[in-house]
Amino acid sequence: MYLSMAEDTVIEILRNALQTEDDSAPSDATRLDEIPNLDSMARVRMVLEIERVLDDRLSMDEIIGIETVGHIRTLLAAKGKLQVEG
Amino acid sequence: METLLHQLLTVARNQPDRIALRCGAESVRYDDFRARIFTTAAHLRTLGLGEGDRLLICGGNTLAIPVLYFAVHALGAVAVPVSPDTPESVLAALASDAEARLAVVEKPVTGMPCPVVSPKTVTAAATKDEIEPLCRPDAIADLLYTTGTTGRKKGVVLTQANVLAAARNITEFVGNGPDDVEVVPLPLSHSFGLGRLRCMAVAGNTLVLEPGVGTGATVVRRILDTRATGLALVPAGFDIVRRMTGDVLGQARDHLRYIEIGSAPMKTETRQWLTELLPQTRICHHYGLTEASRAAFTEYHSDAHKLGTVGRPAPNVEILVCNEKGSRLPAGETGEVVVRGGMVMQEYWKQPELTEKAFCSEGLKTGDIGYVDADGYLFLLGRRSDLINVGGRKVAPDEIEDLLRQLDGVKDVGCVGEPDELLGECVKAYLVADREIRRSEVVAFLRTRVEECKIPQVIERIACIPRTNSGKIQRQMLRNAKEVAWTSER
Repeated sequence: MYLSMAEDTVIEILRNALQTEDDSAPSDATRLDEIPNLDSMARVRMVLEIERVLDDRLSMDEIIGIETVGHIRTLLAAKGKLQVEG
Repeated sequence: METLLHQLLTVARNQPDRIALRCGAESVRYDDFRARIFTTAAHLRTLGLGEGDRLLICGGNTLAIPVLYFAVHALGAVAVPVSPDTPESVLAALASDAEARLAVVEKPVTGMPCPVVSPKTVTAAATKDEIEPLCRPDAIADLLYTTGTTGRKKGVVLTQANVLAAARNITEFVGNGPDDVEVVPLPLSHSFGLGRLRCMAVAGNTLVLEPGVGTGATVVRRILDTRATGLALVPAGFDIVRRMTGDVLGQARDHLRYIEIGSAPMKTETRQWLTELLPQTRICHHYGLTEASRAAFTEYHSDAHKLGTVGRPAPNVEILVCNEKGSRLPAGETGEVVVRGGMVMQEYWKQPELTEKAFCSEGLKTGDIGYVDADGYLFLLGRRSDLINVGGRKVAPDEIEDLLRQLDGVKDVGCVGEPDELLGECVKAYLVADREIRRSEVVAFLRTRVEECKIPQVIERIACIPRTNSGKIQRQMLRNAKEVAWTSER
């Protein structure tokens, strides 16, 4: 599965959560707890960023389900915010 | 002879099969916990740690940290818990100040003045040696570093008697016992989280360690899945839980018996939400300092008629209000809050002048201004220091200012607390600079030098920093500095 438009959006979410201008893109398999400086508040900012992109609130289980970078991408795609090309 | 460790050993003897600790998928029974403590102590002894020596413990909430904490006590040594997000340079400075014999640190570090080992290496040692516990009530148990008003960390010296007294006082007020299962997303390196670990030794309950508050969702899920009866959390944690999970926490109302809250004031709106959500839960909010753990408590339901109070003195604690000469004032009169009790610290580590200033003839001076009403409830009217409370963690503005002055283009700087929806307060930095300075630049500059909570969330460029004739920053004026503001970036 190939996700177009995903890179910029996911990177922007992480960049805003981490309060950095670093454009490096972690792989989908990267676990959130492996990302330096993604502490409690950065995770909160990350969820708020995702909600901003979706223009919708996430449920508790959706928030718990975000364990990797790929999960962010999948969530955005499932909510119709990323185009999925197979 | 009574110490926390002896309490814990009694619990382990009386209920060996009870779960002491849970962390993720792992759990440890009390008999196993006891065994791990003593084998770890034996291993630490082979690494040179002896009675009175300081062991710096820097790690997140894993099972290794409680084992290490009590192993240090078993040797009659001193635990120096340090937050895992402490930058390397600060870690080295703390180890040096504490004259640590050894440091147990999760991540690789350089520049440490003492040998460093990893928590897993130490606690996984396959020795079958055991030792006789050496801790005595008058021996130093913990050296806890706390933020000083000038930014220089102060080492709070607590004896075994101090930490046992604190744990007993808290347990008596909160009312937790051996059947309780308590979720703790607080760092064990901080006085509040460490206090919950100490209380476990007294109450003999199960602690469920969480790596942190995170988004709040995992914490709520853990409370529901474990049918937790207890929870310890800072006010900002409840704001995060509410924002992220709505009212889901209310599903715990039939099993969550008690909550301990501390380290910062709770917003009235959040307090109201919590009391309505959990009408049967004992919600205990403490007031205290690292130097005098949990000096007062308020229980939200029973003290609902006393809005704004931080509560009445904890069991076995006395709270007084004194004037500038250190004389006791009658009820209703405003002065400095002074605390007396078995949990009050001995001294500041290697800072006799600071210690002398901290005490008056009546007890420990808290630096807070307030009064006690006719019913014995303490009300705070302000604090004397300029510390910024970021979600329960104290930040000295001077420390950030000193660092930001080193940033290219910064001519002067002043930091104050800025209201924050989730954290209560965050750091706001006013910069006088001869060029535009982006916040991302400030973040990048500070990230390797200070903990995340100290990084300013708001930057404002202004024409000048208001100061007194003696050069001291006038922080109240700074907060109202909008008329001289040029740009603001959040």
